[in-house]
Amino acid sequence: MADIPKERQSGGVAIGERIKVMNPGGLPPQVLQKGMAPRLDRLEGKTIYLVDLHFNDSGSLLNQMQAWFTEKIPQVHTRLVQKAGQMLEDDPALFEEIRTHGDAMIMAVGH
Amino acid sequence: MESEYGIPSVPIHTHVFASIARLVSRSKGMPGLRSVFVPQPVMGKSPEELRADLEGLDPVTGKLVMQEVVEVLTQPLDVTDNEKIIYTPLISRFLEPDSEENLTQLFLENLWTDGLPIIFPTEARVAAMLAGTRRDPLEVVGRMRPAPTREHWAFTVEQVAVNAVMAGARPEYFPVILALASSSVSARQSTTSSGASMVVVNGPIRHEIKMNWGMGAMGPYNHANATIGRAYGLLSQNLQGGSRPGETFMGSSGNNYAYNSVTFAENEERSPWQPFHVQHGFNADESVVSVFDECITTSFALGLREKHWREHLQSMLLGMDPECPPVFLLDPIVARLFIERGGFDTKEKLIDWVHDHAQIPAGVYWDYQGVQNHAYPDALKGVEPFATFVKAKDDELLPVFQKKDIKIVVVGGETNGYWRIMGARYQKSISIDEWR
Repeated sequence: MADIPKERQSGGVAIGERIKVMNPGGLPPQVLQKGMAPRLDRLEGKTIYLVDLHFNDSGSLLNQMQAWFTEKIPQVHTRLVQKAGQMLEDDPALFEEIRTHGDAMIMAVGH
Repeated sequence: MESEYGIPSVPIHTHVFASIARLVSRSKGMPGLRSVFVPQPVMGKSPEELRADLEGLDPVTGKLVMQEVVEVLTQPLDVTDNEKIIYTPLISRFLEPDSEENLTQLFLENLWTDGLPIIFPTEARVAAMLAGTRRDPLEVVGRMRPAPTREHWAFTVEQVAVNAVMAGARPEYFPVILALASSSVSARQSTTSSGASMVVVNGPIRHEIKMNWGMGAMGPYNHANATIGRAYGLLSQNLQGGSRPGETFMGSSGNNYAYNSVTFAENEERSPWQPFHVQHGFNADESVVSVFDECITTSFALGLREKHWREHLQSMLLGMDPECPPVFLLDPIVARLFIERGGFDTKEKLIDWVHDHAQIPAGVYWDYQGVQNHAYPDALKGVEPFATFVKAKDDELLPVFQKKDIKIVVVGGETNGYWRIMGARYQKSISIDEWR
């Protein structure tokens, strides 16, 4: 290595020499915070919609959750429903129903 | 539901999605959204096991799951949950100057590479790459995101050039790479299936930049094929906001196809059929790149036997998951055999045969987990053909694949009649000429 010029010991850049390179990243989006809904003062007497996204047997999990509510907090009314469309698609009819007749929503399983 | 319908909500995820749930909540503008986690997996568990998971601990927080569900719905929000805040992350054009050794480590730690050595994107090299197009360096090429749940990131011609340099591509390949970047189809999708991309190039540009569509076309024997595909992968992971396991990549086992996104050119000259891009609305003399995703499976065969080719082909097709439609990659020898054996003098006739003969009972079809996950919600929404399929009796035969999803490409150098069926989903074809 002693007879090779220092600048050619690493493909044209001297070992240890600093080089300036460009950032491979893209342009991130702006994010505006959205508000959240007020919480309930209690669950008793309320209607909770259990929304099945139909992913990887999520309906089976929600069946068990519904059974848990029935046993442990029987004053909570639950409705187990399936959301139509792919995961990120709104189901306007269902969402309106929840707004009109429900007090809360539990949705499973996210992915 | 929270912000538009005013309904307090509890999203339930499995615990392996904890980082993603937090990141998505933030990127969608709701950093205070409280998720509850159950142990992975939910799929395949008995009712007793699922009940035990619900009555047990959240693996992420250590709290009792159902206690957490009640708390999420009833505990008051924090004062910051309803603030109007704008987040604007900043990205610098250059990195801090450093030695090659330190930069190599930086690129690896930031997951800006595929783990293999890269060409450092100096300003001079990026300028040389930009000479491969007449487009303005600051022009926005498009947007990408790793998953539909994530936010889109935009990127410029220059930013695509940075990644093209890293991949080792030459300036004459840049229009193809720009066309791929403009597709919005990420080659680094955050799907738990680990689906990769596949890229097919048609038209005169194949000759201009010396791509391979003959012997060894699918790798690893051609510089253009290799580096264009690699550039597509690198630009996807870096320009879409990242591809980090656990956060922006959730592929359970990964996919070796991702190293160069199965990039090759069609053997138009030796094909007895219309080129792929002409089938999809382009003129033969246009240069076009076509993109597939969910590229996971490969089945292969040798030749097409006179006596039992139908049964052999059916066996291959019925061994595929309905979620990954068949893309035939036929050596020219086999393309001619399909005409000789079955009279398929057009690609469309072969597609018709595949659709009509790859059929399974409805009970079997609907029991595929992927079909349950993706086709059933569409059936509920009334999307055809699933809305009709879901009404079929269990023993009624249903076509596994839709005609529009069955594709045929001719590739290979005729050293033998080997051919493949890749499971992959066609997305779109894009003009390369517009990016010259």
